[in-house]
Amino acid sequence: MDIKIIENYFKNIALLILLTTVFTACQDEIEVESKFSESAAVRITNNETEIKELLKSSPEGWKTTYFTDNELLGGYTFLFDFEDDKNVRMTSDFDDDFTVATSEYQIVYGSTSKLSFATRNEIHKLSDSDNFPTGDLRGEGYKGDFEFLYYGQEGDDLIFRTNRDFIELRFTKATVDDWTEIEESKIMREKLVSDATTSVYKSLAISDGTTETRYDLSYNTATLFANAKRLNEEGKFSELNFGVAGTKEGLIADPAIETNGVSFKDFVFDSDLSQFVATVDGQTASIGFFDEPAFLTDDVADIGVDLGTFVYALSEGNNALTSPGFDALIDQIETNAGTRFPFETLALFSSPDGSDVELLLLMGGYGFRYTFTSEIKDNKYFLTYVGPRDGNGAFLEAAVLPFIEMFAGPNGLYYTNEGSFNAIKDDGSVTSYSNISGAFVSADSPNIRFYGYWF
Amino acid sequence: MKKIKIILIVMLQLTLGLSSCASKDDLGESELDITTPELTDLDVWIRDNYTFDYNIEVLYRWNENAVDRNRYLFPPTAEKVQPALAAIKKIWIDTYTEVGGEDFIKKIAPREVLLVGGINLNPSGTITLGVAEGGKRITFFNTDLVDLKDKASLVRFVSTMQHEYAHILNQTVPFDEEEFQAITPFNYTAQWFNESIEQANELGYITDYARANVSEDFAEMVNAMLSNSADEYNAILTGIQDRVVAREVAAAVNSLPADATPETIQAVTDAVTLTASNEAQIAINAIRTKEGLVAEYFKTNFDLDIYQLQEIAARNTLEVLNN
Repeated sequence: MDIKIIENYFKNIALLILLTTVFTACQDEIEVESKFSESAAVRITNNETEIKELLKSSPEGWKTTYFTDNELLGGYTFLFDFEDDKNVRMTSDFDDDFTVATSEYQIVYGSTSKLSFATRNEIHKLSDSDNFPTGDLRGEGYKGDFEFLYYGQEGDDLIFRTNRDFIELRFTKATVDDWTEIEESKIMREKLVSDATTSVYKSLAISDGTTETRYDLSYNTATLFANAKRLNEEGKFSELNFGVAGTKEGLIADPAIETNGVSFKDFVFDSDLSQFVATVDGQTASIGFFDEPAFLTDDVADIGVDLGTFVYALSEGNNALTSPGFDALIDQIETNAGTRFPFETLALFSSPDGSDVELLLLMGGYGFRYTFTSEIKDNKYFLTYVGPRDGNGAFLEAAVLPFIEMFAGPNGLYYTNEGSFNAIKDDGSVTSYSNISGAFVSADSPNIRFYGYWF
Repeated sequence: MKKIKIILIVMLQLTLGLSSCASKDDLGESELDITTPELTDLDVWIRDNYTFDYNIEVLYRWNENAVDRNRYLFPPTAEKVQPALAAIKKIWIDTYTEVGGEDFIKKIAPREVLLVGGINLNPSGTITLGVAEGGKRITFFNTDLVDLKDKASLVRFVSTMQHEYAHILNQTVPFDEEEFQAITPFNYTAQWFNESIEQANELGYITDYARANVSEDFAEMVNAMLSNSADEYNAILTGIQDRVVAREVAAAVNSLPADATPETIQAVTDAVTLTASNEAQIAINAIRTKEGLVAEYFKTNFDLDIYQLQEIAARNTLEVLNN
């Protein structure tokens, strides 16, 4: 075959293929079996209508508890009442504004059908770049979302996932009471906020009926996030972290507290104990204020040996470790002493053998001295009051007696070493010193804790 | 010839093939929901005041694709939208319309205005006031928080439009960047936010952000001229001189010995006032030169007298405040 013939041959084949394609494309006997009775467009529209009907179907609307990031933050309860295809009424326990406001919502088709709260309402308070609970979250607010991907129903509940972070949200049917009692869950979660009368020791205690494991609980009231820490059998710290949301009855911990093969999530407030309690499979977890620390270190052994004089001075500013209960005690002795003697500084001069411990109070520019003896026992510091050290001391003894009694409490003082000393001034500035700092807590009145430095 | 024949046959066959398909199916009604969405009073107002007249779509319901998803932003409260838009319309659209004619904004405008409820706080602590994307869309932050009865708040809010609209005009007719940049060529910096507005003024820039680059410098000049009345604008410039003189005199007097006589103090004050005034005047002249180029740009390219725009914008701002 010469080149020309080959060329024609291929041309004809190409033509044949082309024509075959054109004709077969129209053959109507080739049908693809449709998996759906309706087109995609119709199904999307129906889906949107169906979700709107579902949202409107609950007479009192829906309730959900939203943890925006359970590695950093707690959660808030929201109530939504979808009035019609466009408007939604809403409130939450996020802050003290419990008014029910109306805004618009939409069902938008994204990666799946998405419930979008399209104009501002309560839920958007979690997504305000300028309203953040801690400096670390500047620009991120409470890391909230207000667009939720619809994932279907589970029983009566509607399941969504947040658009941004894919966090599961469960909408349960709300009741009339949910709306009228929305502030209850905020009141509940605030039972974990310290005041002048509460013990400085927050704990998580887990008990199987015979043994109790105690975790020291530090709880951030701005982020609603808790860190529970305990000294385990090997002498190492083990930790549990969880966010907290208030409920009408108590608290929700998220992530659930997993220990000994049991998972504690829903806590009920026990008003007799003033603690939040969860019981699962015969095991009990309690969260709240306790009279004694979760664990005792032997830091107290350094007093009189490595640590000589302890100073608490108002001029050094405040520190979160000094409790409102201690401030109240100072107020009390100032009232007793009269306006001539405003409190300024306390210094505790320890002694190696405990035979002579001096408490010096500087008030109104004068010094008032008192003598104690000390003993270290059961990892606590015990002071026994001897008497005034000088005339000044005797002069003001009656006024400062509550102070003396606090130091000389029969159950002693707990002491913890707190690292280098940080003085926090009123303007928020922090000055750090190389001095060792420490905090004392009255075992008899654990609402009293004061923080100072040693030299 | 044979080739042409083959091509003709193929075309004929294709036509047959395709047309045989076309006649087969009736497409019927659209399966997409093409009904007009239910309009709220606000939507109707927006259509009447922005969309129909100026071909500008206003987006205020949340649309995640219209914003930066890395930011924590939220839509405005519906009730806040109309007052904010009315203020923008009065101070921006009505001003340009009065000076440039009915069609000015109709021909040159962003096609979308996006309203966001809160401020756009960056993790670094800076705040993004507005964004213009390729001249097509202008984003206003802070719609929920703007106080339309507080002059500073109102002016700051609308200044987003004055600034971004200057960019849009520049995209329509470019300005002479080389000539403009030559006025203060050495102090443009990406780290403009590290120094204050006052420091920028003394370097010959109307604001700190003007130092970002020459096109921002131009837009900030337009913004300063249209967000302030003539008196307020002139006060900014004379303020530069007053500030520099006060600072330099204080420094010089403080460095004098404690027993300096009143005559010495006066002599030093006079001398320093003179040198500091000259120093400040260099910065003021730079800003005035930029002002001249901006005015010329508006006149030559758009037949707009920017001083007239300034006067009417100031009047309209007062109307919004007092209404």
